[in-house]
Amino acid sequence: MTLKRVLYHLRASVLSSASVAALFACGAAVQASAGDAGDVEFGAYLASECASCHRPDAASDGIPPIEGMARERFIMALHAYREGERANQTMRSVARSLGEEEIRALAAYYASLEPETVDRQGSADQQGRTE
Amino acid sequence: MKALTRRQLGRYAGAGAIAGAGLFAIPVIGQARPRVVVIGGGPGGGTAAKYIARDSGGEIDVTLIEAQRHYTTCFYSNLYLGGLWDFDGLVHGYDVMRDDHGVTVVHDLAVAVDTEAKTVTTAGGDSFAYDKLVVAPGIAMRWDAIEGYDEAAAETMPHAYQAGVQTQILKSQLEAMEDGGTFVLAAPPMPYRCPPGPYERVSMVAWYFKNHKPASKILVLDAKDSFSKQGLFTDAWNRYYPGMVEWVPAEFGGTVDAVDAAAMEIHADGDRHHADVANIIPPQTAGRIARDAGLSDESGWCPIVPESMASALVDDVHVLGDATIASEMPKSAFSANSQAKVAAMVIKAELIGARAFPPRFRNTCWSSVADGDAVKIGANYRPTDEKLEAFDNFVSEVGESEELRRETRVEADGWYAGITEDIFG
Repeated sequence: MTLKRVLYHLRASVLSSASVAALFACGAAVQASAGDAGDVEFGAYLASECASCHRPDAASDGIPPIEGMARERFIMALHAYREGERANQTMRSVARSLGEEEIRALAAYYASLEPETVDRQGSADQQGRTE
Repeated sequence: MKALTRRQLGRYAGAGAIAGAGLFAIPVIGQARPRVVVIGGGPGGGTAAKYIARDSGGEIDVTLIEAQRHYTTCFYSNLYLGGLWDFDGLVHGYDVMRDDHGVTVVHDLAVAVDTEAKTVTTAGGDSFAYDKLVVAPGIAMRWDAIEGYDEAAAETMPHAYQAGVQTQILKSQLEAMEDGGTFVLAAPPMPYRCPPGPYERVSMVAWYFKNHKPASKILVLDAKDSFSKQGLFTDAWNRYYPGMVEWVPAEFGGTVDAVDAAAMEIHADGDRHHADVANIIPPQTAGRIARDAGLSDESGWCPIVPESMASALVDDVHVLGDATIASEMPKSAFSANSQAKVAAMVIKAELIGARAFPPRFRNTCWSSVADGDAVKIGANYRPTDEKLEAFDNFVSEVGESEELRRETRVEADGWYAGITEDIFG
């Protein structure tokens, strides 16, 4: 099972008992072989926190999309927030709550996702903002 | 037998083929699945139901019991009052949760929980057995707290603090009011839903008045001596709405003790105030089902174990959101959504042996003070034995640039789109 497929299964959650077992085995293999690459399953859990604001699609109205972001760019961005080099207060606070292991896990998870192109709910403009 | 999703059918078909027993295998496997019942389809319950069902891939049977077919968010309802947001933009359904994530959605009112037999009974007379129960009923108004303020009085003097019809009543009253009228808002004592909510509402009503009824006045009668983001709100009122807003704290007679809805009179600490539109936000308590189930203590709110959001009083029950005592987390949609993810992770680990992770909690609250100007407050929270302790707190500052405030205002719309997708999408 490829990493991509593992992630697809993790996201879409079409997991049978067998594929859960396979996933866990794969996850362990990914960890073991990739070293500092990051614990993808841990990243998926941590990413649920990001999902309170960041939508799983290409909409960027006020809050940028992060799915599919390159691993190095993701890590650099969180470091910049943590060190106060980037300004957003919310993201500074988020970044300061994350250790290196967590940042690597998140970066590994997000880097492996394709950005969703289907906009299910419409942008925030369409959603409720008055003209 | 309840309807199966296509995904579940696929699983059962596969299992049946392996067992060589065809359809006979279906109910056997169905009964073996652990059952989670979730009471309440808002930010806490909705998030928990979705995350447990989606991330267990059908291994856990999730039933969501929610009386309303559509959920109207209380968050952002102030922007509707201010004319910055459409009512329809506040309304969300359960189709995706049911069709894509495999949650069984039951539109009925949960009226009783037997925590010994582990069953939930609805007003419609159905009974649902659970292995784990999630209770997220939100708040209930304390109709005994302010003399004369009961459910009938709330038709005339809306609280508009459970969004929907109440919000629309307040909006139509504001629209019907003559220019030069007085809007009185009674703000509740702590603890209550959304600490900055009453003051964002003052800001949004002021924005509406400034544009449509500029001679009008706003009187805030407060049961407290201070409030969330006070410096930020006060600064905004002075800049955008000079002379329009008067705030009376408890120490100077702000505590409302009685109302006369027929006369549109509000009694506070011996003074009588006349209102053209009155918004009475009364003291609150945990939603009724939580109290009836024995999940609340003498305060009327539900104590929880900080690291798991499990009830501190009853086994195999998690309580989420506004109904809980989750100090130092505020009662907010963001908090409920965050707590739900921790509870979902713990429940999956306990029921199907999914991997457990360290609990993480956070909250951010945006408040719009004018069109193109919003402020925010937030923190991370770590569980200790007694509470959820805040760290790395932040709050917007007085004197920030117009550009930053505009960015924060747009960011708030992005958050609304994000969190409603996270709950209902």
